[in-house]
Amino acid sequence: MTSSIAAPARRSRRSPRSLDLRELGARARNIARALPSLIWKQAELAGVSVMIGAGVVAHAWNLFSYPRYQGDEGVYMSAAWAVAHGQIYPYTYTYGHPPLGWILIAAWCQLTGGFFTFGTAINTGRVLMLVIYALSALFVYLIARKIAGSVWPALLAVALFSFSPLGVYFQREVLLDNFAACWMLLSFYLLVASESRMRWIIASALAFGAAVLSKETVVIFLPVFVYGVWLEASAFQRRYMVTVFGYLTIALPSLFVLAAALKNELFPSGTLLGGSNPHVSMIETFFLQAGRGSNQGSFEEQWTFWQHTDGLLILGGLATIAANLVIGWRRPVYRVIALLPLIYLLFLARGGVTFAYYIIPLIPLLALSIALCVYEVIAFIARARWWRQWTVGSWMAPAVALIALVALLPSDLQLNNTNFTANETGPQYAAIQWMGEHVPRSATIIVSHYEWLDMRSVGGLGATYGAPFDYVEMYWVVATDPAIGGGVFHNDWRNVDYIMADSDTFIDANGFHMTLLLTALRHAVPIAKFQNKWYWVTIYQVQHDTSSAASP
Amino acid sequence: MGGVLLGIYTGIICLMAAQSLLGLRMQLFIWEEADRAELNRSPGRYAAPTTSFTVLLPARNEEAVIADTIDKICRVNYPQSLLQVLVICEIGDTDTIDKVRERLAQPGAEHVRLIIFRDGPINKPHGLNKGLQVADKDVVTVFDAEDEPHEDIFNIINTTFMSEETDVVQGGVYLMNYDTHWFSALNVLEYYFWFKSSLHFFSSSGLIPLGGNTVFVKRRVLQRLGGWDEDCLTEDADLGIRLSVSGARIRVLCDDEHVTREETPHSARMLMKQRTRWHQGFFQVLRKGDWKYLPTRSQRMLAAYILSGPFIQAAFAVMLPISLAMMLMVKLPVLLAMLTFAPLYMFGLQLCLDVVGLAEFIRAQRREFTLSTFALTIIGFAPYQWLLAFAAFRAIIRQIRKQTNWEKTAHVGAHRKVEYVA
Repeated sequence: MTSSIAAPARRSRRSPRSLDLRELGARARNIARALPSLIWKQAELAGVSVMIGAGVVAHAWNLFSYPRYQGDEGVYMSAAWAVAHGQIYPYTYTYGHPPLGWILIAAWCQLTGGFFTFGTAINTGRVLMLVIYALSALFVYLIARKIAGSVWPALLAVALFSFSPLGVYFQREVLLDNFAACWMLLSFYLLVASESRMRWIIASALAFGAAVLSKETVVIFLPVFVYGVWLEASAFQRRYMVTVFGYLTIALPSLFVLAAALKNELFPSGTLLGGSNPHVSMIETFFLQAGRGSNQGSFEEQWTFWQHTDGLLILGGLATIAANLVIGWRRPVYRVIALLPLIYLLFLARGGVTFAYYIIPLIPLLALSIALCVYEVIAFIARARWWRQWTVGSWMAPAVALIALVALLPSDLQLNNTNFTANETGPQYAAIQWMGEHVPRSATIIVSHYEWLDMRSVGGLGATYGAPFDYVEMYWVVATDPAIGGGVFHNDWRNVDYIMADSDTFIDANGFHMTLLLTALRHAVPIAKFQNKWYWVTIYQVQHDTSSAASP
Repeated sequence: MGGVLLGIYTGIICLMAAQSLLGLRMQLFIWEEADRAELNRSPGRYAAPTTSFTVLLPARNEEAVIADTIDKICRVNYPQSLLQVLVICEIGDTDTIDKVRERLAQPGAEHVRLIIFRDGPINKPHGLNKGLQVADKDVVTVFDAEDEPHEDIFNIINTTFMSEETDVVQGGVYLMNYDTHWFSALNVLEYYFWFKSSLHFFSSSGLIPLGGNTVFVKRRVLQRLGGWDEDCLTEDADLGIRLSVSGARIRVLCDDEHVTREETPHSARMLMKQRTRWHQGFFQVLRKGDWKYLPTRSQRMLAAYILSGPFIQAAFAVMLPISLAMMLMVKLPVLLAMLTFAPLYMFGLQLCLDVVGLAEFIRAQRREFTLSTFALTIIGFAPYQWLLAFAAFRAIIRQIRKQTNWEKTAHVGAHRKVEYVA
């Protein structure tokens, strides 16, 4: 009792200086205690930055030269350009894909100073894809970090994701699937990190909705996500969280359907709800797409291609899906890790058309599957009693993950050789330039999708040497949109002046019986050809004087 | 001109969406985080009975149910010496008085007293104040004449008062007969979400419109505030606001097992009258302006929002046909047209949550969730909203005509015809 009374008296007599020293000592001790974790945090941050930075370099190296500019990339850049000019699509919008992806591209181009800041329109889009890649890699890291609770498997997952030759190839391309995969990974991270908090679940649902609004195919993941919410939510909140998540993930994409309905473009014309005047219809487009045969690519074909390009990711991924289902018996979240790639594979394997880039959402999921499986198996072995006596147990899982990481890099570097050195866009680039220099602006031109915006828009590569071309149309649209084929060309080859064609043009023109294009080509002569060892593009001039016609 | 109208229309749509969003927030509050489950969990072990309670039981024309209610209160697990039960009647209500006297003559009701008042106004708050004058225990509580309090309720509240620093405990009140009328399930759900979740939202905001019964207030606190407002049609909400302003600590506790059971009004007409009274009462509380003394701006805004509920509901009732007409007749730009669907999307989510809540409620009663109940809930959802909106209109009109008399809800004991298992 006396001491407790005396203590404050003593302290009050103490000089301020000694009090300071004491406080300083305590503060130093606290810092010393927190220092290891502080250093560790900085080291982790550095590790992630280096890994994703290396990934960005791998994606950026040769970005503008390989792979060649794809038709789809041109379509989405053109659509973004239309958005920037107050339209939703450059041609008649048939609701083939939801527009969130190219709305983001449009925003990106506004932010970075236009559509041609990095040369061609597609180059500008590809720089955005670097950002999308980096975000996706970050989400992959965070997901694995959260689930495994360790840095090493997370770094391994990022490495698998970043340096996969499939990933480097497809993640460079301006494709809606890349946007969708990024949103989906964000959604998945928010879900596994939610700790049963409603706000995180809501944010996760909104991100998933954004994924579906970027590319409708990812909706196939929804059942697994709902199951994930079920697992993450505490029993007390479960019913409400699943309801809120399910409702939001359906409500957000339903806005796309609502927009079509409000424009009276939901139901096909000639039906009770569609009215009688001719118009495009979302439902019609849906059935058209769902019914596409596999002549543009079957699952088996693409599987062979994927496996050939990155066997480790594909076969390793497949094996670990099975293993993760077993681990899921003990750790429920592994069921989700396994079911996500599984449901998508089953969806692709159902038949119907499979494009090569359909692999995009699978790449991060398989990377996660492999890294988490390896770590969990090693950790399981390390927990065995025999190892624990040797105290290597706790180091084993990180060590194996690190070794796998080091072993992975040289082989991936090798597999990425083409990605780093080939130059497919050279001929495409030169062809557009040549058009700009040599062809009168009044000419009517049929082009591939990737050339369109650079010819059509002020500032585009083809328009650099004068004004843009006003009468330039995409060959696919000429064949399918009556407003162009009939309206602009009157279905008459004589109204075509020039054609820019590459191998894709001929494959599609023959495969889909594009009569107008084929007839025009029959009456045309090649006037310039651009070629290197990877690719070629030919420019044809249509001979309106039939006597001098020659067949290509 | 058209542009201005369109702007106003868009503004109203946004407000509607915002208010639905706030409603959803309140409805879901308790489920936002896993550990909030604890907020509604009754103590597992009861403290030794220490707190004494005065039970106020105001009754008017309740001859059908009052004897049963007294029975229930006499049978609670709590020492009689710590209880004082005051049945409060108006002198003209001879039927109820006779029933009460009959019951008091039987053994086991020695701690129950009948309080008869002869002065006006003849309403619940006046009766409660009469009771408060006689009350001499630590904590004063109110039950309604048709209530079925849980037999352990005093043990639970005693334990809460012993273990937590609080001045007021609001217990849960559920309506039970979810399948007797077309509107029953929806009415049941309103109570369910209100006591289980929304009140906790208010509690965390530091502002609570209390419920009319199963509310336990320290007698000294109540007396310092001067009891209930006898001119107010919703004396409970008014008391809640005044307690909040005075800085009283209010605890909400709504465990499914220990709620007080009530019945829904026995016709849509009665429901509408009850709702009209509530709306008018809230309007009175709004006009009194005690809420303006709440300490923070967000509390004042929340209070103003809750108390002006009738206006908001009436405004939406007007908006509904306008919205429909706009959707069908006016060709709006697509983005704007999509925006007008925002409130509808919110309603959709609310409907889904209602179905989930009902399933949970029925499961907790260990009864079967039938398809017809489910269908009725969905079909009745919109008409129920219209009924509430109509009541709001009625409230505004009655308020303008200065009709502020008490339209009392009659009770027939529908919730007792079925033996509900907790």
